[in-house]
Order: sequence, then C-alpha cells, then structure tokens
Amino acid sequence: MCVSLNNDACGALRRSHDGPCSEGEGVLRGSKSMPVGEQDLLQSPGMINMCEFLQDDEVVDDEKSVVHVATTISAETSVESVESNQSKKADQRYRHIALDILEGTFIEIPYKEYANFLGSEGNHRILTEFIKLLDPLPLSLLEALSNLSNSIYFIAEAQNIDRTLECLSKEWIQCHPDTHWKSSYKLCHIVLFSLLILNSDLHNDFQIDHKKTKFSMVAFINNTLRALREESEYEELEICAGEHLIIDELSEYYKLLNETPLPLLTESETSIATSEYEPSLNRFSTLGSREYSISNLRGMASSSTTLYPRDNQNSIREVSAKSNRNFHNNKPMQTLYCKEPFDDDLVSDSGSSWFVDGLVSISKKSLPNRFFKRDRDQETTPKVHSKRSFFGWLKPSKSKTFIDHTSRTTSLSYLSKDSEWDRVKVQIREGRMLIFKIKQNVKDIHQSNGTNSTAIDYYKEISSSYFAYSLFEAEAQVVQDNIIIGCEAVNINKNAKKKKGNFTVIFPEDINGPETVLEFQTKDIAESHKFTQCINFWAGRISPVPMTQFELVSNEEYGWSDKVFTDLTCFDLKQTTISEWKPLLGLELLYEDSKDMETKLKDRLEELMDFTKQLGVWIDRHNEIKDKLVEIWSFDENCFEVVMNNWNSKYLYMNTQYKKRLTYLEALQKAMESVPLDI
Amino acid sequence: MGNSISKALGKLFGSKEMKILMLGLDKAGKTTILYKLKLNKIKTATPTVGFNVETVTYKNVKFNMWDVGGQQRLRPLWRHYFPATTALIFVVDSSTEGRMQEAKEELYSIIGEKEMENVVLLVWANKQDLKDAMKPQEVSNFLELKQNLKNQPWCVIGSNALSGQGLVEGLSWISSNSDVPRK
Repeated sequence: MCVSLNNDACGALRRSHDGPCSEGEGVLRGSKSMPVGEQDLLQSPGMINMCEFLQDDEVVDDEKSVVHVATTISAETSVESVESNQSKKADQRYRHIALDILEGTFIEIPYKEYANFLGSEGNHRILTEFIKLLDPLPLSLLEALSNLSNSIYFIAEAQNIDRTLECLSKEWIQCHPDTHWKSSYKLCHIVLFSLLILNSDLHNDFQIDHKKTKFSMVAFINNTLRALREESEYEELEICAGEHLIIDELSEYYKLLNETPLPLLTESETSIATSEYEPSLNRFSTLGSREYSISNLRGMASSSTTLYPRDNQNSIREVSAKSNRNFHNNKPMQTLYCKEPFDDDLVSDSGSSWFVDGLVSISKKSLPNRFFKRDRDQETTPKVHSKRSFFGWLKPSKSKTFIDHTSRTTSLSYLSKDSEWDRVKVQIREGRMLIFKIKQNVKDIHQSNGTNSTAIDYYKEISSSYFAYSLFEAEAQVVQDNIIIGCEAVNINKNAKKKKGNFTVIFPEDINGPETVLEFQTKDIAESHKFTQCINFWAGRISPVPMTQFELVSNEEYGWSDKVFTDLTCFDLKQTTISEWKPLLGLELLYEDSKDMETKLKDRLEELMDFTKQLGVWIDRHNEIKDKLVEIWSFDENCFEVVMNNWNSKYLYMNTQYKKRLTYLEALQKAMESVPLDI
Repeated sequence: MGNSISKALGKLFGSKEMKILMLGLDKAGKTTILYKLKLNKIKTATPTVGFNVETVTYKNVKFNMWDVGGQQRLRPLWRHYFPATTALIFVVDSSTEGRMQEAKEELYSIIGEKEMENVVLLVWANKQDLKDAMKPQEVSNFLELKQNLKNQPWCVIGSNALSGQGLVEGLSWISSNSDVPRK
C-alpha cells in the first residue's frame, strides 16, 4: 500500500475523484498514472490483499443487486429471475477475469496475449470490466493511454487495439463529461488511436529511412484534425469551436510522447504465473482459432494440442537445413510427409512405391567431385557447383529455349560409350533418397535392406561418402522409356549380358543452387521402373501443386489480355507496355522450408487430378490464341518478338508442369492400388 | 519460414529498402502472414507498445511491414503511414463472401488517397485452403480492379498463410514491379 500512496500524492492532483469507486480503489489505481517507474508496479503483499478484499467486496455488491433485481421483477416468471441470476453470475465471472488480467494471474492465456484477448469481439464484457478497473482515468488522454499500457502488455492486432481504445474512450468520457470533447467518445477514440500510431512511429527505431518518414508535429496534428473533422461531419458534431484547444492539446501530447515513449509492461512486473503456459500457447491468437471468447476458453487446452503440430512444424523448419547433418550425425531426420495409418505397413515393404533399396551404379559425373565426410553441408545438398545466383532469373535474362532445357535432362551417360559408373547403395524412403557411395575396396556387400540404424551405420561405414536428398519436386524417369535404341546398339555397355536399365532423377533449381540431374543404372529395366515409381510417388506426395502461379490475376500486359483481342487499335497497341512473362518465384524453390505435412495422400491425389485436368484446358486455350497473336502483333517487329517470347515461356512452363504433375499423378494412382480400400 | 526466405528476400530485393503497408479487414490473416514472413532479425527490436510491426534487416535490406487497421472513423489516420510506402498489400479472406463488399470499400478508400495513387498493389486472396474460398480471378472480378485501376500495377495472388503458399510469389511480384516507371 505504501507504494501506492507515494504515487498518489502526485496522481491525486491531476485526477478528479468523481468516479463511483471507493477511495481505497482510487488509491490502488492511482499507482498507474504517468510517469511511472517500474518499482511502482512491483507486486507487494499489500496489493494482493487489496485485490482479495476488492473481490470480496464485489461479491457482496453483487448479492445486494441480485436481491434488488429479484424484487423488481417479482411479478415475472421465475425462469427469468433465474436467468438474471445467471447473468449476474456471468458478470461476476467477467469481473474476475478482468481482475486476473490486471494482476497478471489469468493463466488460461499467455501473458502477451492478454491485449488480444481483451480486444477480441466476443470479449467485450470482459474488456469493459477491465477498463473500469482503470478508473478514475486521468484528465489527459495521453495519460489515460499510458495507464492502459502500464496495466497490460499492450502489443496487439490493430482491430483489437481499436476495440480496446474505443472502450477506453467511452470510459474516459464518462469520467470527464465537461471537456471540450463534449460527450463525443468517438473523437477521443480517434485521438487515442492517433497517439498510439504516433508512439509506434516515433519509437520504433527500426524504421526505414526514419528521418524522412518520422511524423512531424505538424503532420501529426493535421492528420489527426482531418480525421476528427471527418468524424464531426459524419456525426454532425461541433468541434470547430474548440479546435484551437484541440491543437494545443495535440501539440502538448506530441512533445510529451516525443520525449517519453508509452511504457511497455513487462512480465516481471506482473505475476509470473503465466510464463510456464507460454511456450505451448505461444502463437495461439494467430495460428489457431482466430478469436477468443469466453465460450472457447474451456476448449483452449485441447485446441492448443491441435496447434502443437504447427508449432512443431515451425521449429522443424528452423532445423530443416540441418536435416542432412542429422543424417550424418545419426540423428533422426525430420518427417517430410503427412503420415497416415497405412504408411506403417508400407514404409518397409521393399520394392513397393513406398520403399526401394538396392545396389546400383551412378554416373561418376552425377555426384559432386569432391567429397569428404566432414564436408557435410556441401556434400549432402543437391547443388553447389554454380555461383550463379538462382534469383538471377528474376531479372531480365534470356528465356530458356526448348533446346537448353532438354539438353540438360538428356541422359548423356547412358548414350556415351565411355561413361564411368560408381557403385552406390540407394534407398528411397519416406520422401528421401539416401545414396551411399561404396568404397572401392569393399567387395562383399552384406545385403541388408534394413532401414534401422544398424543397417544404415553399416552402409555409412563401407561408404566413402553418403548423401541425403529430399525428393521435394524431384522427378524421375526411366531412360529407356524415352530413348529407343536398335539391337546393335544395345552393346554399348560392353559387359551387358542382359539389357540394363537406366533412370535419371532431376532435382529442380532451388535456393541452394541450380538444377541437378543424377543418372543411375540398374541391373534391368524393371528395377529402374521400381525406382522411378518410388521416387515419383514420394515426390508427388510431398510437393504441393503450384496452383497459385496459374490463378494469379494482374493488369500486367503480356500480349494476350482481353483488351488486346477486343478493342485495341494498332496505335493503342503500340502505346502498351508489354511485360515479360516469367513464372513467379514459388515455394517449390525453397524446399527446405516448405514441408507440406498436412496434405493426405488421397487429397493430394485429388489435387493432382484437378490440377492436371485444369492445366490441360489452359494449355489448349493457350494454343488457341497463338494464331490470333500472330495476326494482331505482326504489325510491329519488336512487339511481336516480345509477345511471342512471352507466349513461348508460358507454354514451356505450363508444359513442364503438366508433364511433371502427370508423372506424379500416375505414380500416386499406382501406389494407391496397394492402399487398403477402406482408408 | 526462417532463414531461407530471408536469404531469398535479400537476393530478391537487393539493396532496396521497402516500406510495405499491409491492410485488410480483421481476421483476413494479416498477423499470420507477418508471422510467417518473420525473418531472422539481426537485431532484436525492443518491442514498441501498440501495433505489430515486423521490421526485418537482412544485409542492407530493410523490409518493414505494418499491420494497421481499425474501423471507419480511424481510416483517415492511416494517412500517417502513407508517405514513403513502396507497396500496399491488401489481404482479403477469400472464404467469407459476405465481407467481401466491406473489404472492397476499404480497399478503395485507401487507394483513393492521393499518396497511394501510384503505389504497387498486391492483393492476397488469403485462406485458399478453405473449401469454398473464392478463386483469385473471382476476387479480382469482385474488386473490379481492372475497371478502376489505370495507373498502377496490381496483382491478385491466392495465398494460404498457414502453408506459405503465395507469399513468396507475392513478394517476388512486388519486387519485379516496384521499378516500373511511375506515370
């Protein structure tokens, strides 16, 4: 109590004690006037006792009023009096929650979420009670705001702030009905909100080019006045008479706020009772159910568990770049897919779409040249040769030609007579491709298909290096499906007694580097098919469908907007700026971060079906417009070239996507055959 | 999205400094997006009372996103933010058709401001993961951007703030369009 009393000495001068509260309450709340040192808010036994006392007091009050209500409505049905009793109880509960929040002892939500909780639409009653607890409000609006930010951790979403300040302004008007603001809480609301924006602006020191953008006093006053005027017109209120008073007041606030930012209440200043709840509920307000209300409070514990995977996912994201390191350090790697019940049986079913394991050959050119076991990060991520920034293609550059593209994916090693091959052990499972490059001197390889750590350790031991590739957006293809060579040429591989199989795996360009192509050779074509099926299945399963690219709507002109086809003359066309078409940077390029672990196999299958169908239609449509484009744009050589380049780029992009997604779709459809029907 | 996105953004925006204003009705998903885009902060800013502001520093790139909002009577105050804004991101909840009209009015009340005339506009048609969400084309038709916006580049991209779909695409679009010479 002594702390409060000290402070009240200055507080009382500024405050008018016309609120309906007891003097004791006034003293307690008085401790929160501005400026306030941290020590003023330290919990003292006295304060806690005070609150207990207050609570008891309120209960007594409530009982009295219940009696009172009951007598006045005695003529009405008993049901209604029960209801009013219940609503009284509800009131009481709201007040208790409000008190708990003020004391920092409301443990159902994390302390930093109090402001969002109060500001939520459904919690208006609690908010009202909370604001009442700040009574009596000081005459200065800035001080009132400061009292608020001193009573709660006041960083919240804009709409929640809005509602809180609206409530505060109503309360303020009640406390001070005779100022130049008259009875317009709306005007006060505007001033409070404006002050808060000003505070953010003046004291958020990480703003860009802050000197230039920082509000000047004049700008602040003008903007605020403008908002006030618009409101006055709207509400037909008269503020003109007091405008000079308002200007004086605003400039005073600006000076004060410029010197001292609004205080941010930190947790140590209140009870720490909530801290242990924080980690699990951390992102509650934004990731979970998007609002709080008293009714879903009870459900919070359970909804927080459904949220948990997301939080988890987030933490996984952060370490995902290290997943290869985990592989090297024998730590479990993160899950890449949404695991379903049937997966348990299938993940170790060798030769299925879920799991393939075998000794194959890999083209020497495929793997990075230098490998050292210690060089973990480099060694295990697909990429790293080129220094070319992969974002370079955002800038105007030569568009890929069809020849460029195909040449990169052609299986050169297969066609070349003197390709060299290395022995590798390859395992495809759970969205990854593990490659162990077996040491030259190891002759007898003990054939184990195990996925357990003993087997993995064994392979690590006999290997000179090993890699883990995520199959995100990867695509595998059996070479012999694409390239048919006559009988004589089969002997390209001199020691081939029966026809070997070959397959390639393409990992797309991503944040780590350019596209990578691995070329493998298996003992026969059937085995190659097994590998490709398994790779495409996992790739299809973990890669989201890039619908966003195609559904984008913009006013950029690529040469084929409706306008071009309908109402533009040659002259108009010449004036049009034609943008270059290029696919947008997508999440698929940042695979390390975008594990889609929420899409079920069945849903992915549907997605792929819809997407390929839709894309097919779009490609047809794109083909249809080509003739028209030629006709329309041929009047100008430059325009023609740009438009046709655009047309080509889009066509190529769509085609590549179509082919890849169709491959995924087929792999998933095939895999579904082994999934029990009832799932 | 952690480090990679910030790396990506660093490369994307070069040495640009961008002040991006993010607006939208409540529950459109602004905060979730901010959270998703939260990048590695070299310095941790002392939190300031009031609004969520994500300020991201990566090398010489400063990337500043403001979550502002509020009801009708507070809108004139948004002018506080307008100077020096590079791009406006407007987030709509594509799954609540009922509030689309309200969103549209809000959008036009912002871009009707003189300072906002030439600002690059990105609309995130958010919550595409929900079953009956309006497609970007539908959102675009509803907002009638084609009819009403003549001078500034605009774009509607479907997004899902929870998975991150559309977010990188949107920022990449902003970056490639913020150099468009202003008319």
